[in-house]
Amino acid sequence: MTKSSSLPLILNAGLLAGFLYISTVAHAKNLGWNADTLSQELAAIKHLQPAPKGVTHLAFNEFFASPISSRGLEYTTTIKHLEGQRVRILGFMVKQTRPSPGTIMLAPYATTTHEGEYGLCDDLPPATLFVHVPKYADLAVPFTPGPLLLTGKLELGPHQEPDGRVSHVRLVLDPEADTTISDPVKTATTTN
Amino acid sequence: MKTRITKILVGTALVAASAATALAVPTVSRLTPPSLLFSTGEAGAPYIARFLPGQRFDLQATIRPDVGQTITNASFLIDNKPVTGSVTLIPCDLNVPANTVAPTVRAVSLHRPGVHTLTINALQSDGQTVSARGEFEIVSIERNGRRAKNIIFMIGDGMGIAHRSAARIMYKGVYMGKSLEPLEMDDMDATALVKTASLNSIITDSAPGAACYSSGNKGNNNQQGVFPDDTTANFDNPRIELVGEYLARTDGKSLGIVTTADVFDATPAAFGSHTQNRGAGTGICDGYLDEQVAKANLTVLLGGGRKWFLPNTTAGSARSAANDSVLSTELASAWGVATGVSDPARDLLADFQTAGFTYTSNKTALAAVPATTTKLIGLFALSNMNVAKDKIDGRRGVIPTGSTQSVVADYGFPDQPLLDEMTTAALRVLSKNRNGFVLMVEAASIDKQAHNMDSERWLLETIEFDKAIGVAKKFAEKNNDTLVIVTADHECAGVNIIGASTVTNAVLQAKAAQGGGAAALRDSVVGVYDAASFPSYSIAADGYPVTTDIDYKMLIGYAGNTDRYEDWLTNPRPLRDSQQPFNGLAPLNTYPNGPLFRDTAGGFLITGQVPLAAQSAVHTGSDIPLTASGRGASLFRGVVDNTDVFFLAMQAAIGGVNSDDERPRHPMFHQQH
Repeated sequence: MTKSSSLPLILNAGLLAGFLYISTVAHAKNLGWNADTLSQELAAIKHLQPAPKGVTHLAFNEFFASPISSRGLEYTTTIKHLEGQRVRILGFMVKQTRPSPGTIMLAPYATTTHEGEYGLCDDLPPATLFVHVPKYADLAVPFTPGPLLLTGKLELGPHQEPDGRVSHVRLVLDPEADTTISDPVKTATTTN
Repeated sequence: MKTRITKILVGTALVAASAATALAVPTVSRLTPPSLLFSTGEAGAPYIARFLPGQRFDLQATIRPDVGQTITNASFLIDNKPVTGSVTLIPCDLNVPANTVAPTVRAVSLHRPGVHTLTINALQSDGQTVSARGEFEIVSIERNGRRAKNIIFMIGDGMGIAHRSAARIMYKGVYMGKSLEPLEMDDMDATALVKTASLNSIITDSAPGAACYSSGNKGNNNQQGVFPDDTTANFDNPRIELVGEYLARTDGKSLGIVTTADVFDATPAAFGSHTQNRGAGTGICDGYLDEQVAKANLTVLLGGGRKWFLPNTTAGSARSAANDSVLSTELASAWGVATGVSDPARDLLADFQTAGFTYTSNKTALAAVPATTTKLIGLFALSNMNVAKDKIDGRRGVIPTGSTQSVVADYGFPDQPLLDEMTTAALRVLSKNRNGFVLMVEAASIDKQAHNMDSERWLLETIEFDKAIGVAKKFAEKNNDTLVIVTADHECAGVNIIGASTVTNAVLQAKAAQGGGAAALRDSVVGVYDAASFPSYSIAADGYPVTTDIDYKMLIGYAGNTDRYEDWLTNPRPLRDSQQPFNGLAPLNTYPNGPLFRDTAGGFLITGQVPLAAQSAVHTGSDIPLTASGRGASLFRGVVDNTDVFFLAMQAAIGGVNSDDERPRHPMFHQQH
């Protein structure tokens, strides 16, 4: 049994406002709400500041290389160089019917999994980031819609998660998030 | 006939209503193999379940005991004689009362042709008994004439008559009322129409739609190689021996499966799996090695779907314990297969290679496969392969406007083979077996792109399929003991040719950009009857249309459509495929996410007849065409049930055909198209 948490994630009302602004532009209808594209467009209108010193902004399409090898997906040179370092990424929290304590999944677009009905069978993209929240390891994180800007230490390599999934890219969330976004966006943190 | 149908439906209702009242408790709510006798009380044809002499299948009943009671004993009788073999009482857990069980006897077979009665007798813990009867048929195979050593099923998934007609117009041309050349699938010796209903609906999906050809029996939608049951387990249903398994066991033939889809998809898996869940990819693909290689001499497996063959410790793997298979001991023992284990970390691709398979991952490697290869696995994408149009555009170096690379490069697999190239490779390997083979070749995206109402993509997919048929026919000409069957599993999208554009491509492009809605894109564009005239496409040296956006182009309508925008122009990019590894990432995130997010500039919204929740066009219930050539082709004529196709093919393979039935078509047919 997992306990529910009031953990305030780094969801930011200002960022959401910027996101909604972006979504109203004409081409957003066809593009869909894609986190990497959203990052670029928010940066272009100064709603997303460059990552602070010591932090590198990471995009989902920098996870795996293309063309695809004769077997599975392989890391890009970019992400391999970032292993063990602090990175920042914008994404959407996966809505899970059975969330795991202390972990959320961040995807490049809004999506839902139905573990109760389909188990671990889903169409989650391989470029799904598993976010570990050490400070709240025994709490289930409430679903938070909209774009999330997260900062933490990047881990790579296959790792069995508590729910049985195998993660390949993980973010160990900073205990005190230091994400900075310019006004009107306010910085949110993981502190309680 | 109308009266009979009404009677049957009423009979079904009465059985259901009386099950807990007038009849004794406990009750038998299901008896497998299914029959009209059990479900309606009416004996006689049509016999729902039919088998070949010696073909193996499972017997099962679902028995609901009285409250607080259990079923303590059960036995089956065929023609009033006890069935040998142990009866296992399988607990049921799918919408049934407590203590419901399914007495089961596995892998039964009979050799005497004719109709047989099946009886289940069961004893409840308080001494009450229950009994029910059904019937099934063992089909007579006439032994006369020469046998077909090789059987090739060419399945254009979702390919109805209009898909074929439209492909002929585009690919071969029509002028002054006559086709200038026939398609390969036109130029065959025999023709039939095939009825496609599944066991539980007039509208089939691909799982039972293809499994009728591999098993000779109807299945419920989403189920393949099995009859329905009342358990949630995906791999425990009553089985029916498949064509590959049967002919490997009785004749030592090999099995080949070739598809442009993910190899776990319903049509390929219908020829190599037994499951009630067509989505159980890990278990289905494990079964290809653990069961089909061992029991059906599976020696060729080509398509997409690499994600099921990689250990879940490899990025891009989709293997999961949730869709894996672990068989019960009683099932595995009776069918002579391994129980398997839940093993999402299994490196199935390495296991195939250990079993002697040569692995190839792209077109270049496929072309370089040594001629001595005897077992071949080719997995050319993590999920479904790209469609013919995008593969051809990739080879031509076509880059969609606004992109920096081709569609196939966007998907991460820039070097994928075409279906005719895959078919050539498959035949080279399979023909090494002197006992012959069964080969299933599927053009999967005729269906997938018809669902998307992407006309040009399913048209080129049909042309690609026709070229693969040409490869099969050429093989059959050199090996005249080969039967080639070309058909579909169902029609998709209610496709038809509604006419042709009355404007040039330049004018159509302008109208599509200007946003005039129906007035601009329907009333002043769609030419019907005489105005349609004869659209004329040029074919490039690579065998595909130079462009599908010609002046006065052919126009396609859809009867099974959801809401869509339409501008009649070729879509530079396909709709998104949620199963692709880079779906949602740039650049695939720029691909339209459905038929309401494409062609929007023209403002011509076509309201669908199918609920929007379907998100795409749907399968329809119309009959589908079948053409056949080679040994035994003459058996295919008239209007037949989809399960008949299996038995006619097996007549050719097991019983043979009289030489009088092998006469070629009148030469007139080779001159008139």
